[in-house]
Amino acid sequence: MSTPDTGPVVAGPQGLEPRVPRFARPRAFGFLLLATGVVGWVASAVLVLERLALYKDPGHVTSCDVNPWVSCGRVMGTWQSELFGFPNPLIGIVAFAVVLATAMAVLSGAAPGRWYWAGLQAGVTLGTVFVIWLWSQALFEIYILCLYCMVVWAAMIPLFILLTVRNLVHGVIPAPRAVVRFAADWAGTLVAIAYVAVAGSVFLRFFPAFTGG
Amino acid sequence: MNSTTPPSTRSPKKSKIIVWTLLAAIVVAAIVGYVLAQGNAKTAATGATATEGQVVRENSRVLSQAPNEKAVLVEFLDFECESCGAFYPVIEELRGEYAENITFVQRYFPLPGHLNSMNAALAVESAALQGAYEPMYKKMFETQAQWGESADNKSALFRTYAEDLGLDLAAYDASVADPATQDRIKLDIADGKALGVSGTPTFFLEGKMLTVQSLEQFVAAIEEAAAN
Repeated sequence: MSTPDTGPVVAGPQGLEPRVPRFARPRAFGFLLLATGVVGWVASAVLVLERLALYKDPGHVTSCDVNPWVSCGRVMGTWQSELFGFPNPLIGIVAFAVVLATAMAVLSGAAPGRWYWAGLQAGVTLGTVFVIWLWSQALFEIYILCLYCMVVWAAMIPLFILLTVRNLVHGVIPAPRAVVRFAADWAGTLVAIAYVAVAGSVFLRFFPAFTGG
Repeated sequence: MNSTTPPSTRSPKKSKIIVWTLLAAIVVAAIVGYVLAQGNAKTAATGATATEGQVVRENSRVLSQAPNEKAVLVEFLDFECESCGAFYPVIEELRGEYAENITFVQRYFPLPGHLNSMNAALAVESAALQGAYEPMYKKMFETQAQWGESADNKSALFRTYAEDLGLDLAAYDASVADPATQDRIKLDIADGKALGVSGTPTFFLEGKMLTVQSLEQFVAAIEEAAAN
């Protein structure tokens, strides 16, 4: 009790300022955008090529027609696969290209303004909503899996979660400090939870298909 | 305010370990479950293949017998499967058009992914035992949108269909509950599996599995078989 003024001192700025997680620093985040962008773009491109092959020859067996439960070709026959009147992966080709361009810009040292990150967040969020919808349709309506579509899901999960956390940490998205701190601490774990949850949902829904029962 | 800093730096670590352990446990449980289930499936499959797969059996449900039969179209179906529901009007149309030359046979193939597939198959087979296969099968597909994909057991609803069709409900209840009815359906499943059926609907025309990519090809194959 010799130092009575220690209490208020704890509220110093350093103690409460959320630490910027490593992934949210420019260079690491640039690579993150690059990796998810490449994976998403390549999967979309393959889907577009397979779709074109199917237009040419309706009997074409796509490279991802594994069995009745895992078949891009059969998923492509559904209305959900062309929600806006054209094949969904065309959206991926355009949208992941934006992610790739951003990755390159960030890696080159550019520091986009707040509005840019907010715009990217809006786009990625829309994409995530779309992917969640596709996931629900594949599992509960179509009941057929599409391999490359799942690759896109796999890219969207870290892209969305880590971009959101990055924007929280850098103040692009205003949020209470506790939320920011939680997000920064748990970002990687949230990605892992999302992966396990999505994989689990697929596993449980398609359990009979996997076991041949 | 002051007390938040020390625990918040320590507790996330601990809870993080718990969460990651849980995640790992889920993954391990899934792998173990998968391995166990596959072992079961293998033993079940060896039991089933002992009864050589047949496309049509004596007891298979014949939807319509062609007086001048040129080919038999066998459909392995699941009353809860949407694509089977989508095929229903097509089959009915073809049945009208090629009644003279094509015999239509249907076999049960309730998929395990649907909750009411087996219940529906039991209901239809029970109706069939009273000579009402066709009206019950139509009822199932016409009402599929109302009960398909439901998480509840729809046996009670199916019973009202039996009532609507004027079936003997006491006999209906007895046959739904009779394990022999389920065995009868399982025989169809075993045949289907032995023949390589893995999804529904799967069609066999003249004993051969029909692999078509479009409805046009499907109709064309049947047209050709009827013309031969």
